[in-house]
Amino acid sequence: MRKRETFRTMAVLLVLLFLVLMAASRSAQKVDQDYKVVYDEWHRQMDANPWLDGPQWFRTDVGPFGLRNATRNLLSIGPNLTPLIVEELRTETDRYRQFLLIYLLNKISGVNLYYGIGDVYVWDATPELIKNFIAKWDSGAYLRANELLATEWKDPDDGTISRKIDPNSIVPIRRYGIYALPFIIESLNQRNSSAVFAAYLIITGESDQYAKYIENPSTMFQAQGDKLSHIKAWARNNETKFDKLGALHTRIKAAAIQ
Amino acid sequence: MCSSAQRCQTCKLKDANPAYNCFAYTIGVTDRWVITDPDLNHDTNISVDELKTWYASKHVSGIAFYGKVNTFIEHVAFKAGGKGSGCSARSKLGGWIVLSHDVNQVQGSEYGTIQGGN
Repeated sequence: MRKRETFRTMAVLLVLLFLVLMAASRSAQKVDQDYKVVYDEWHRQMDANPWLDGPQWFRTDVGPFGLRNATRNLLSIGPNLTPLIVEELRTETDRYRQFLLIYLLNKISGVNLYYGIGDVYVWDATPELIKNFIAKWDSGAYLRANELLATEWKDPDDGTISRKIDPNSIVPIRRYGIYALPFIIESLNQRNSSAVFAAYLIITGESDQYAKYIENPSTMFQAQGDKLSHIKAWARNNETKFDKLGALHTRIKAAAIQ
Repeated sequence: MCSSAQRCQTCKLKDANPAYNCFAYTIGVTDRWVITDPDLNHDTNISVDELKTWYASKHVSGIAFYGKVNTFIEHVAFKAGGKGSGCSARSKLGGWIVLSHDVNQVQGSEYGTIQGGN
């Protein structure tokens, strides 16, 4: 009888501990309600302008001024918006809005869920991509991107920097977006990897530079120091856009700013 | 969006339908959006070259590509199949209507100019 009670107490304590850990994990990435207002206004403007096509969703130079302002305000938040996007992904059931959200996630935080998924339309894969992403997010994997990428990803760069970079080779890093930045910095501290640097460029939204770089990495940012300087400058200039991301902010700050 | 379409005898070909977009429309798909599927280098933009490769794989031709630059295509249209005099082209405007128009008429501040085609 006593044994059973002890067991029950232990079970209750374990459940409580689990709940506390889950809550701590979420509170480190909490949603800012001011962002919700900005996000809702952007959505309202998007709904009012159904003629917009995918390539124009995040443009600030098309459509009525209300739309331009709403888009500008949304994008200006930067990666700090990520926890809100995650919460929206968690509850959104409309396929179009889910689709829009995974593109927004890529635009805001560089977390890309849809490249390298094989011969299926992104639209068709969207619910599954979201389900897998949420499970991974809730497991805390995004805050452990550094250690996970060390085993999940193998650098295809053998040191011959003249070769082209296969976009598919850096997909695993892009799945983590800005959460991969500490891994990127650490990797570049160890070796002069063009693949890792290409991932950094596209994660931080430098799509034009990325497109040129993967074609001919030997002509740009050749030295290890050039690559690291670029990343450190980005981190300094954009710190206010990721300073609400708790542990991630601390890690990037320690590695690239201080 | 029809402000420059006054010369068209026909403007709207199909009612607004949020289920698909212009890229989907050009490959005969009407139940999903297609955006970055043609994006071969994964830079989040669709270029003229990528679209040519993609349409070739779909055996689709007769498409005009619109954008401000040839590395960022924002809209595509069938060059033929429109209705009415001077409205030979047709395209879908995002999640909105299918429009019959002159191939040059949707050029402007929103969609840019014709950067290429196949």
